[in-house]
Formats: sequence, structure tokens, C-alpha cells
Amino acid sequence: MGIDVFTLIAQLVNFVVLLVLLRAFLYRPIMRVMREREQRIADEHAAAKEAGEEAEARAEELRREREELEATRRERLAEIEREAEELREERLAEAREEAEAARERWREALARERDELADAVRGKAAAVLADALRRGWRELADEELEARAIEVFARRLDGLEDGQRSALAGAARGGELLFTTAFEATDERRESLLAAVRSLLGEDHGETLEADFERDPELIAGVTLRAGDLRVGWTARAQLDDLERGWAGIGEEG
Amino acid sequence: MTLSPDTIAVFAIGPWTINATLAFSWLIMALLVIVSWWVTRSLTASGDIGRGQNVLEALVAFLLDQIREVTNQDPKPYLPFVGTLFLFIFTSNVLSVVPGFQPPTGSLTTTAALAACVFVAVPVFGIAKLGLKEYLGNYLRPSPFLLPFTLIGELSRTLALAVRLFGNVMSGSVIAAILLSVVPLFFPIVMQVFGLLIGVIQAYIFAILAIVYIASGTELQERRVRAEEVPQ
Repeated sequence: MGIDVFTLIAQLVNFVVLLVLLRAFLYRPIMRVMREREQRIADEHAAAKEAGEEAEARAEELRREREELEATRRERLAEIEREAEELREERLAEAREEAEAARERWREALARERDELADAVRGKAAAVLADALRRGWRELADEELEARAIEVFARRLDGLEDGQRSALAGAARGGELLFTTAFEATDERRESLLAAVRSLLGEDHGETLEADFERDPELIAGVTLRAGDLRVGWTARAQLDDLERGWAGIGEEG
Repeated sequence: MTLSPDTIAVFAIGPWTINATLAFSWLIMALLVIVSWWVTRSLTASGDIGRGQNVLEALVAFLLDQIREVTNQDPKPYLPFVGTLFLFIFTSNVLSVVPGFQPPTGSLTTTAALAACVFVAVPVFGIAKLGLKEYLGNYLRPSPFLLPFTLIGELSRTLALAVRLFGNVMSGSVIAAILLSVVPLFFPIVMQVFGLLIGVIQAYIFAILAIVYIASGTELQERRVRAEEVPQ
């Protein structure tokens, strides 16, 4: 048991040769392949990392877009709510105006109906009153009342204005005088009436003055003179008609 | 009974007699090169790799991890040297179970040659990494008076490296041979398996010690250089 120098040297050479051969046939290829695989894994890892970062960036972008859309949606919703509120207020205002107009129309119709009813009541009341007075007048009317009516007629003739007197004179000259009485005019009363006209017109007509006479019981009492378009006189019926018109016109004047 | 394959002459080439140590060493070398060529001829960097490539990559990754753990450095420069040591010793020891095979590591000459390789590799890697001046200065630290002891330490650990491997492998072979002659049936098989385990462990120990020695010539100096650079 010892060391053989030749074998020692040979083994040193053998080891160096084996080192060179394994380096060429084993270590270099296997290290190259492992390095390539590591590089490939590193590349894939980098690519995956990059893809992950891109995905995160995309996710961040999508999140931002979603937030923007959400903000837009909220703004749009608020705007729609505001428009809806404005539209509702507008419709409410229109409805209020329509209701107010309807209420105004109703009030006007009510007032109109009330006025019509009041007019009807007043007309009916006037008619009833006039009818009652008319019946009273008819019962009170007599020859004496007729005579006093003629006196009133004579005073009204004296109160005529110049134009009316001229018209009366013209009608007298044309023979267009017509006396209407409630009772049958006696000669005495006819002469009294003609004398009153004659007294008004003066001496020009003298004894030539002529007039027609007729009876109208509807006058109740009194006398009227129609001379062309002129009409003058005093009758109970005219008084009642004035009273009825005046009664009916009370509400209108107010 | 022969204790060393150096004494077994196999054939002669001219004036040189080729003993079993050299013959089986060449056999191991041829086997390793052929297997390496056969496995690496169809290497692929894709994810789908063959079984041989898978085993080879696992072995290389194991060696790289071991070197990295010991040196705390990039293991790639040391892989061919340490890997070759491990593969040669491992193959030699594993094939010792084959009847008729004389493991070269059972020769003190072979283990001495491997230890000498480590002895040379330590300054080679140290000078390559630190430079000649810095590496040689390491022998004078912490005191020039310790230079003889440092040299004795270098030689003694190299000698220990050679004798340890030789002793373990040779003793296993001797014990197996003795038991084979005394108890020829069951017990020698157990001892062969035990010897196989011892052989694998010794291959690992030899490679680890080699990288430890190499690291002592590079890492420690590097640590000292870094410590000196700190005040700057």
C-alpha cells in the first residue's frame, strides 16, 4: 500500500481530462439549458407581471370610467329629478290656474244665476206689486179722479218746452191731435181739454182747433194727448208702468 | 487479498503497465462522458423535459445549492471542479458493488491525486478571485510567524482528505472481502449495501470539503477585504 508516482501523475491527468470533457459535454449544455429556462421563466414572469400590471391599469381605468359613469348617472338623475320637479310645479301651476279659472267661471255663473234670479224675483215682485196697485187704482178710479187728472194734464201742457210746443202746434194745424181717456169724455171735459191746448197755442188756433177723442179703459184713470210724435198726459197706468220699471231696475242701478 | 488496485496489472502500453486503478478510472471517465453526451444531446429548455434531463438538472441544482450554501458566492465557477470530483468519486464508489470492479478511490494514489487537485485548486480559485498579491498576503496574516503552521495546515488537510477517502473505501472493500470468505451468504450483502452508503457519503464529504477549502481561500479573504473597505 503506497503511492505509485506514474499512477498519481496519470490520475492527475485523468482528472483534468475528465474535468475538461464533463465541462464540455455536461456542465455547459446543462447550465445553458437551465439558464435558458430560467430566462424563459423570468421572461414569462415579467410578461405575466406586465400583463398583471396592464390588467390592474385596465381595471383602474375601468373603475375610473365606472365612477365617471356613476357621477354622470347621478348628475343626469338629479337633472331629471329637477326637470320632473319643475314639470310637476308647472303642471301644478297650470292645474291651479285651470282650477282658479273654473272657480272664477263658476263664481261668474253663480253671480249670473244669482243676478238672473234676483232680476226674476224683482220682475215678479214688480209685476205682483204693479198688479196689486193696478187693482187698487181700478177700484179707486172714478170721475172725480179723472177730473183731477185733466188738471194735471193742463199743468203739464204749461210745462212743455218751446220745441215741444212747436211740434204740438204743427200737429194741431194738421188735425193730428188725439185725446185718449180712461172714462168716456163728456162734452164739458172735451172742451176743457181743447181749452187747455188752445190756451197753450194762443189765439192762432181760436175756434178752429179740432181733435179726436177715444176711450181706453186700460189707462185706469187720466188722459193722454198724441200730437204726431209728441205724447203728453197723465194716466194711472203710466204711473204704474213707471213704478214697475223703477222697481225692476233697482238691482241694475246698484 | 490485494489492498490496492494499483498492484493489479491489467495490460501494458509500451513500457507502461496499466493497473486496475487507471483502467477502471478510464472506464468511469468513459461512462460519465458517454452518459453526459447521451443525456445532453437532447436537452430542451421547454417545460416538457425527459427523465434523464430531469435527473441531471436535479443533480446539478443540488450541487449548486450545496456550493452556494458553503461559499455564499455564485456557485457556477466552482461547479465543474466540485461536480467532477463528486461524480468521479460517487461513480467509483457506487460501482464498487459490481463484482470484479476495483474502485479507483480504493487506491491511495487516486485519492492522493484528487487531494492534490484540491490542493492546487484552492490557490487557483483564490488567485483568480483575489489576485496573486492579495492571495499570498493571506499566508502572512495575522502574523508572518504563522506561515509555517499555515503551510503545515494546508498540507495536512490535503493528506487527511486523501487518507479519509482511501481509508473508508478501502476498509469497506476489505471488510466485504473478509466477510465474503468467512460468511459467504447473507452478511456480505448487508456490508456491501453499507459500503455503498459509506461510498456515497464519502463522495459528498470529499466534495464538500473541497469547496470548503476553496471557499477558505476566497470567501474569507473577500470578507477581510470588505471589512477593510468599510472605513472608507
